[in-house]
Amino acid sequence: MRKVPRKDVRIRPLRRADIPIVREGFASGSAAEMTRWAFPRSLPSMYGWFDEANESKDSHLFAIVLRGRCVGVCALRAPRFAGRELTIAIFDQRARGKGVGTIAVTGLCDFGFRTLGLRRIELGVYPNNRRAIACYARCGFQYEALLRRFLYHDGRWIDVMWMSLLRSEFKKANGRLSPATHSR
Amino acid sequence: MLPAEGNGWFEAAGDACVKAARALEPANAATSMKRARIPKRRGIGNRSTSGRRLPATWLVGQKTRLRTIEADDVPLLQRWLNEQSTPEWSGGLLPQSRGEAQAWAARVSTDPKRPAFIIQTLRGLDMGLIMLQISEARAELGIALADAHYWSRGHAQDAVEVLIDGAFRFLPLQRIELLAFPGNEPAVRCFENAGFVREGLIRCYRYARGAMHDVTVMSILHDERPQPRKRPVP
Repeated sequence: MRKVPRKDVRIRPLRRADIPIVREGFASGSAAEMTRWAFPRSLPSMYGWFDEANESKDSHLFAIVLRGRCVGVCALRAPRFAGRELTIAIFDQRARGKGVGTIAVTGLCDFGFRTLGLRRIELGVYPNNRRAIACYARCGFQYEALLRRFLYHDGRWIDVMWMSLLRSEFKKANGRLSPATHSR
Repeated sequence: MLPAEGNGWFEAAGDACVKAARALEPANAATSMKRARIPKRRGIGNRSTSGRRLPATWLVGQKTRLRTIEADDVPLLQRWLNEQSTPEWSGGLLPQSRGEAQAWAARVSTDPKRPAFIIQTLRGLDMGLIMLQISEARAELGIALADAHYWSRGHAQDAVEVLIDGAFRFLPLQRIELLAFPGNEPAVRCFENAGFVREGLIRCYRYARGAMHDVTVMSILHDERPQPRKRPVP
């Protein structure tokens, strides 16, 4: 499948006006199998989630924008172990498999390491989500641990793959990353 | 031993009440329980110099018993926190004031999501602390053997086994996990002997002594729990 050019994708802070689109996207169930967003949520509850995340110091929510259209969200939030935890969901099926996630994750890591000055970004991924694992590996994330029976998901207790990226590794890989990837 | 009821028990007035109530306990209660023979004071953590009844608990193993934390343990806990020889293994805390230690003890002794116990020998000598932090169906285990006299003698392993046995029997847990510093090889070996499995290495976890350190994640699953011991059900 054709990859989209880098300039077509950008991440920007999530706005209140994006919430209806985000709600529709998650409620459609297209991301239910790969994320923790299983049940459809009402609009007021989504606004509550948005406000809560905005008030928290540790959370940074971003919209993934492909040619002017919001196709997903990604975020940095309080970590399970250390640093910040990265989460991403692309709920628009048409935007999948085109490298959009890789560009978004790289942009978000760039924001985390340069703007926030983090030393470490970590994430958990379901072991059966091969596309996501390949995406994270392409961005430089390294496999750290397999946390067994970590979450209840899709009717059973499943293992979670834990990956992390350190600032030193990120700098080595993306020494002169274009600062246009994210813009406030 | 009186149970910890409500929140008022922890206040200074409550403390006095507990002591007064203990003095009023019927004498025949003492005859039904084995009177502990307390040897001479040895190491830190030995509060008892006279023959004192052991606090009731059913979390009893081959070498250790786990008793609840009570209001009069605060000075002991503060001493353990402030005298530790290896603070980098247990979070690198700065010395804590009496008030901070008291707040911590009040929190862990009333929060059902954070069961914490003092590890004692079967004779009632306090040697350290063991606790769980429960979130959903996971629990994180923490242990600190404050009295170095009991290191490398199997007491820590026994306490861990007693606690995970009790936890898997009566708490709805899928896994019990813990973090161990790579420099703390005896602890890793102790947990492996108790049935924990190494899951991986979390890089750059904590800053200590001028550098970032990695930690080992270990866990034990409900399916892997040790066979229930032959111990009376409470």
